Amino acid sequence: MGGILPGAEISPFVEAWLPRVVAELNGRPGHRRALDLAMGEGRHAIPLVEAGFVTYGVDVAVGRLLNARRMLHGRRLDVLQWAANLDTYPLPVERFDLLFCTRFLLRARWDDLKRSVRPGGFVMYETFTTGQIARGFGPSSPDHLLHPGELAGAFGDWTVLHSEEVEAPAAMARLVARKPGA
Amino acid sequence: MADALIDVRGVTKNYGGLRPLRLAALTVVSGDRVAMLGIDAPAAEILMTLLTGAALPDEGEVRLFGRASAAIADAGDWMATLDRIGMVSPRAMLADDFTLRQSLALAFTLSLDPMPEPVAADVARLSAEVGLTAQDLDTLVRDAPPLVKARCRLARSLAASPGVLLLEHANALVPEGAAAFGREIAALAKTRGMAVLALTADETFASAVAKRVFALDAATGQLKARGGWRRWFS
Repeated sequence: MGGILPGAEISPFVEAWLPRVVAELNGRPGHRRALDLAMGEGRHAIPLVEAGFVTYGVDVAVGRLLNARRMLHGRRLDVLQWAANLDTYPLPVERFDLLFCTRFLLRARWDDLKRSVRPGGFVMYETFTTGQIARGFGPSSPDHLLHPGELAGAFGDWTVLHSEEVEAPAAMARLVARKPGA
Repeated sequence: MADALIDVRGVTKNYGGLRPLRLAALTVVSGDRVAMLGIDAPAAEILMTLLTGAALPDEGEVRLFGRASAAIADAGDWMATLDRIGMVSPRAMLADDFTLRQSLALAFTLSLDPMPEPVAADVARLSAEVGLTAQDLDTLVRDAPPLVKARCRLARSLAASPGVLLLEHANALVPEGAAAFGREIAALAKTRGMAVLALTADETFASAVAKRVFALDAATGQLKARGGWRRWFS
């Protein structure tokens, strides 16, 4: 089972790295597609759409999807959404230019997530690590927490642009990587 | 279902295909928009005959507007039922030598020259509703682009103000831009409060025109809901 922790602010990691990913993708023909994995209330769908991505959002919680939809429509932003249990639901293959995920872990499906990205596409991933247990807030189940080096290892065969693991203000791992090919 | 416009239960129909057409259950209610994938052109043609009461199933029952199609008594009774159903199909021919205005008017009258004023008014109203311009109406069918001809067919299907619109592989009318055509039909159906049942192999078109998308399992006749990302990616 994956883990979700809602948050209200756009991650500084996203603010810093999304423009760089967009710059790398500029010049690719056709629409750019982003998959907002476990999109929750849609806070990160805003910069994705504003960056020009045709954005697809998936979450298990229909209520959150509806809240996100209302919020995005209020800003005149469109996201294609669907509800699914990501533990089991199949993902399309090589459809997305950007796999985007914050504060959610789906470690049983690293291979499926990687397959969903087109060759030459990117992953931006940020979520909690086991160091968070000692901090007393956020997720505490090992199922929802990355082990040290796990995120970078999962995308070890991709070209890593950025990888870090920090302990404060929250224990998190962050990764930006590009899929080989194209 | 009492308020169903179309209600199909346990239908099979042999038509010389590899297997009979089977449809276990399908209900279309007022204002509904349903798309069915997985039905090829010959099977779709047969299903259209069942859904319009032109043919009866070998097994099972088709109910149209609350009444079994087997209970349609005579030609007059059947025509009255047909008036409540609009159909858009590549099989419905448009005469190449007619203008679109004349083609549309044929839905109301055989008197085209001169065209009676009430018919001209109806043609103008319908054409505006489907997005045909005055210039389009003066174009010969043979010279009209696919989308314009498709809109003409759509307008003709609306002439009798049907309660339900049947689309038989209507996406084939617009090889480029079928999804946009599907959205046009969906918007029009919403405005009219008209139900839509689309038989198509085009998932993008299905997703654009329908609120509910199903894939038909031809072997069992079961409809399986089509959701998630498959609505956008074929």
